Amino acid sequence: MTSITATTDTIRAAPGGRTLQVMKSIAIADYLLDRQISPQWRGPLTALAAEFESQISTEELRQLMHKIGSRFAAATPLAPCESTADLADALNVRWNESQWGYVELDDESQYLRIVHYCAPLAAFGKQALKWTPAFLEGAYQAWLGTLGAEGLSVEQATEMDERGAIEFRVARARA
Amino acid sequence: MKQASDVETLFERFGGDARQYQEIGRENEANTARSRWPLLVTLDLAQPVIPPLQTPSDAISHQAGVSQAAARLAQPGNKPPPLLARAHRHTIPPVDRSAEPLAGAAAASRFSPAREDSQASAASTESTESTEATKPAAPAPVTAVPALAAVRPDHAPISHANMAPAATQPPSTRSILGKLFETPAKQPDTLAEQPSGCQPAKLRDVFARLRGDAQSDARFFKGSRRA
Repeated sequence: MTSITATTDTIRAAPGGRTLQVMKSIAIADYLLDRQISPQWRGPLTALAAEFESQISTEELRQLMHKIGSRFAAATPLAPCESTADLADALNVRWNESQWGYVELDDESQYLRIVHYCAPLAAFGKQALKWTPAFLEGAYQAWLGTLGAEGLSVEQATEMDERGAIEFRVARARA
Repeated sequence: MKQASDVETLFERFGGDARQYQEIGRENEANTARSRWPLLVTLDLAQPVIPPLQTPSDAISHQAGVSQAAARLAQPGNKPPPLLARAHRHTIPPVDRSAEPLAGAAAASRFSPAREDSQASAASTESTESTEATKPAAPAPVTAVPALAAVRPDHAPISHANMAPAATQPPSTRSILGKLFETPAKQPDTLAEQPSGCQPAKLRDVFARLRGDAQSDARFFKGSRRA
C-alpha cells in the first residue's frame, strides 16, 4: 500500500484511514499533472526517448541528462542564497517559472535532502524515468556548485513515486 | 423606403402633410447611439437627416398595393384604422442624458474611469500577491524541520511519510496540488518573518558540515541542528 503514503497529510489528518479518498486524490493529481504535459511534445519526446534507449545505455543516458541539466542551470542561474531557506525559495522560483513542479529541502546531518515534486518528466514516457531524473540531478549539482558546494555531489536517491516525488541527496562526493 | 412611401401615400390619402411625419423610433435609436458612442456627437450629427420619403420608382412599384388598399377602404363597412395607431415594434429605453457631457472635453478622457478601475484592480492584485508572498507556505518545509528531528533523530532510511510536517501549516497549503500551483515567496524579507527558533542555517555552514569540516561539525552539534 505504498499509495497510502502519497498524501501523508491527509492520512495524518484522519488516522482512522481514508485510503479510498487518498487514492482518488492521487488519481486526480495524476490526471492534472498529465494534462500539464504539452500534447504537441508528448509524442515526439516519447519517440525520442525510445530511440535513445535503443541506441544508448541507461548509464550514458543519465550522463547525458546530467549534462543537459547542468546546461539548463547555467542558463537560469539562481538568486543569491544565504541559507537553505533562501535556496529552497530560489529553486522554487526557477521551477515555478517553467512549471516544473516544486522542491522541498530537508537538512539532515549527513546530507541535504532535496525532494522534487511533480516534474513533468513523464513527457518522455514512464520507461524513461530510469534516466530522465538525471536532468534534475545535473541542474541541482550545477546550481549548488555556484553557491559554494565544492566537494559535494548530488545523487538521486529514489525513483519517482506515486506523488511524483523524486529524492536527491547532497553529500560529500565519493572519492 | 417602402415603408416611408406607404406613409406618405397615407398622408396624401387623408389630406395630411407627410413632411411632418417623424420617425420617432429612429430618433430614439439615434439618441441611444449618441449616448453609447459619445464620439458621434463630436461629428455634429445631432439630428440625422431623414431620407426623402418618396422616389418615383417607389411610387410606381407600390401603386398597385395602394390601389388595393383604397379599394378595400371603399367597400361599405370598412373603416380606416386610426392613423399611427400601431404601437412601436419595440420599446427603447430612455436615453441617459448624464452620458452626453462626455461628448465635449471630457470625451478625451472617456476611458479614465476604466483606467482607474484597472489601476484599482491592479492595486488589489498587488496587495493580494503581497499578502500571499508573506504567507509562510514556501519556506515552511525548512522551518518545520525541527519537528522532523524529534521524529527521526537517528537518520533512518528515507520515508516520505515523515517528510511533510502537516501540523505546522494549514491543510490547504499542504496538498500536492496546492504546492504545485502556489507562487513561491520571492522576497527575502519574508524569511525574516519566520518564527524565532527556526532560523535557517547558513548555506555555507551546511556545505562545510556536509564536506566534513571539523569546525562546522562542532558548531553543528553545539547549536541549531537543522535549518
